[in-house]
Amino acid sequence: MPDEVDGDLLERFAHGDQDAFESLFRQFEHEVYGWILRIVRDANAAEDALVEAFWRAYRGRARFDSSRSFGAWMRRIATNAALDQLRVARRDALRLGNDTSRSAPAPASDSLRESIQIAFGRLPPKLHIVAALALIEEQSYAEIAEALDLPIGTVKSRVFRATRALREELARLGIRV
Amino acid sequence: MTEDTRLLALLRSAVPPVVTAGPSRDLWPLVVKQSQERPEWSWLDVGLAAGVIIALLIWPELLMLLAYHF
Repeated sequence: MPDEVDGDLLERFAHGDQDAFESLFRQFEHEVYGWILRIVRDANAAEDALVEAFWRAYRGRARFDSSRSFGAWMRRIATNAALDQLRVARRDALRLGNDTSRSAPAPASDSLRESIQIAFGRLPPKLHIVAALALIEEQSYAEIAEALDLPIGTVKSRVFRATRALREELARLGIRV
Repeated sequence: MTEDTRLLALLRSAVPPVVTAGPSRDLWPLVVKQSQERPEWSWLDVGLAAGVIIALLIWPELLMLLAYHF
């Protein structure tokens, strides 16, 4: 994320200046949107999470340390907003009864690709997020760890668990990888 | 090709990396609307603050415990 942000701008943002907030929004919206989209993989959900993330940033502006990276702080907030978006999507799917994690048809006649998409969709949000970022988007463990505010070791462990969960899910669908 | 490499290759072909072009519309007005409509303090925040104040009134010695954490 671009982080050559004027210190004065950050100070004004931290004190609630709306123009400073808009300026930061314009500067960071594309990068934040891209990061969220990599996690939620749905343009509408990504836009909702983007709005939510910037609102949370504005609400938490007093806690922002203007001597630190605004981009890293914003990415952490955006990651949490995206994670919440994944949880909501999962809950909605459960409520509507079209949850792929429980009611997907046996994929005997489905394509391998569809089965993998189903298995990926069944990952719990915490594993889904690291699988999306590390395995698909090939983001570095360090970057993911910073965004999730977790130690790198925890990220590696979740990637391992996500891979194992994917393999188990595919096995349940009758596919051995 | 190891099992993991094969799984990764299959995963990436089924769920390819996203190509981002930015939001489809200007989202700033929605951010402004949200920050005007949603209170910065939720009922949960207010409830927690009230709980802490009441607890401090009942057990003033808890102040030392709170002070320790700040």
